[in-house]
Amino acid sequence: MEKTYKYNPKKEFEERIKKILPDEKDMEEFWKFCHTEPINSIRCNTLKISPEKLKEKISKYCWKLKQPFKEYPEIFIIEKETDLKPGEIGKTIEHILGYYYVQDISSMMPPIALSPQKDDIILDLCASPGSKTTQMAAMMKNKGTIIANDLTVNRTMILNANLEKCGVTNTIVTRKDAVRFCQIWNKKIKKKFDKILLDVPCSGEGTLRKSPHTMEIWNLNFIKSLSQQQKKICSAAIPLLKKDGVLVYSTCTLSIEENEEVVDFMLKNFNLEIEDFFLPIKTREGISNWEGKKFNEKIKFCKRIYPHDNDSDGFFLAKMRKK
Amino acid sequence: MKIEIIEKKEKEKLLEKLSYLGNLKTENLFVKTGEKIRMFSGNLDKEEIKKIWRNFMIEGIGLYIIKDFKNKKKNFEETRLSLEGLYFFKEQIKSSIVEIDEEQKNKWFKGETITLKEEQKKNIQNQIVVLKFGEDFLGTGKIKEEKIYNYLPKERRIKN
Ligand SMILES: C[S@@+](CC[C@H](N)C(=O)[O-])C[C@H]1O[C@@H](n2cnc3c(N)ncnc32)[C@H](O)[C@@H]1O
Repeated sequence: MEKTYKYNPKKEFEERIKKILPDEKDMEEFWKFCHTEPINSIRCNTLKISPEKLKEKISKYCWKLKQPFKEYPEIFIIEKETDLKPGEIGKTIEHILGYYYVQDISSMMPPIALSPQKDDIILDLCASPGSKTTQMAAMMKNKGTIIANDLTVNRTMILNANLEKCGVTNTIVTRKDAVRFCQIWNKKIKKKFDKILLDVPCSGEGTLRKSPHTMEIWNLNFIKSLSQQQKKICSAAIPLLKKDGVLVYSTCTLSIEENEEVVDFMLKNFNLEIEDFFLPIKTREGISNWEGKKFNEKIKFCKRIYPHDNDSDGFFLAKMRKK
Repeated sequence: MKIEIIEKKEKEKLLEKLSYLGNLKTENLFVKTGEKIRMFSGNLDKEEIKKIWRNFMIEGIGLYIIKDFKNKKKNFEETRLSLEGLYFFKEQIKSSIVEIDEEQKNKWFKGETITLKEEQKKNIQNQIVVLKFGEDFLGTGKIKEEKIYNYLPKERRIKN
């Protein structure tokens, strides 16, 4: 690949992407997209305003808007032709009032996969800044309960600020290391969750378009240590899930060690069944073979989202049910 | 965060203190965290919430909707809705509303004080008022000498 960009991927990273996307054209498209910004998308906060009303209100900005999914009218894309000033979407009064949330389309997929219902008790274990917590609260119409946890004071402050702006009333925010949270909950609270979202810390290979410097700080050892941490988090969280409860595991990275390998680990060690599910954007199957490792054949039910398939960030999702 | 679940009677009293806005009602649970009152709509009962609080670092519960401020020394008391409180109760708010114009709205979002216009001075009976632009509630402010002092939190202001 010709190195004509400000940030260029490390050789080893490039080699791995080649293995993930063996078709040359496909891979070229991937890198081409990685060097451009993703399409802007917003999610109407239906706790405060309807999509129609929001559309009417923001029409004054002359953004070229599209609602790409009939079943999810709250999702808007601001088309590329729109002449946006830097930071414009985040500076409007409608944004300040919490009428919409700026969120990449791919990041809206985990709540869609989890499909929270009005009476569910949900655990969002790594929740900050709250893109998915606020989305789930809106899907639940502020009913049910979400326990939203994150590790540090700074992160829970950001989470709290976003929950407040969006008018979320059904959430309790806690601050604990994910594994510790699960241990304490299991021992002291005991109540089981209907659904769990594990949107875990990851190496962020899917967000190269927004943070291209990731290409240069990329490091396989870091990926391997994250994979270990992710397995620990999953192992701690699964016991908190009800029988028949649903768990969605997601990352914004593309490395197999942080994705399929973690899901395979869960399927091997816990009483979970992986399920196929529908998402309204283009996805590709999970990868079953990687560097001599052969995963559970149902790993294909995992969904990979590549930046060049939907002009979004890259993402990974798996949906599992407790037997 | 220290939390205290508010009993029904005290909740009614609080809402009574806000009667300058209308007859506000909600079934949701109220939780006191210092002078901030938060509202929780989740389906956990009081005992479950207390148990979580005892075992975890609770950093937030529900939504901050009311500020109930008391200064005994100065014999001063003030109860008002937060911006989000306004959104929650918006259908029920019937009085102490000041409709502002575009220019005033722009000042408001910069955190500035607004000077009341003649027609806006009519019908104002309360010191704490709710600002409205079109159908949007923009927060509460305090009237002093024909000006509305801005209570909009810093993080909700427009930065240049
Ligand atoms: C991918 S981000 C979550 C994004 C979030 N779910 C959203 O949609 O806005 C991962 C989060 O995990 C948090 N985190 C990192 N290590 C953690 C740990 N040991 N325990 C709990 N949270 C952790 C990070 O602070 C970060 O906020």
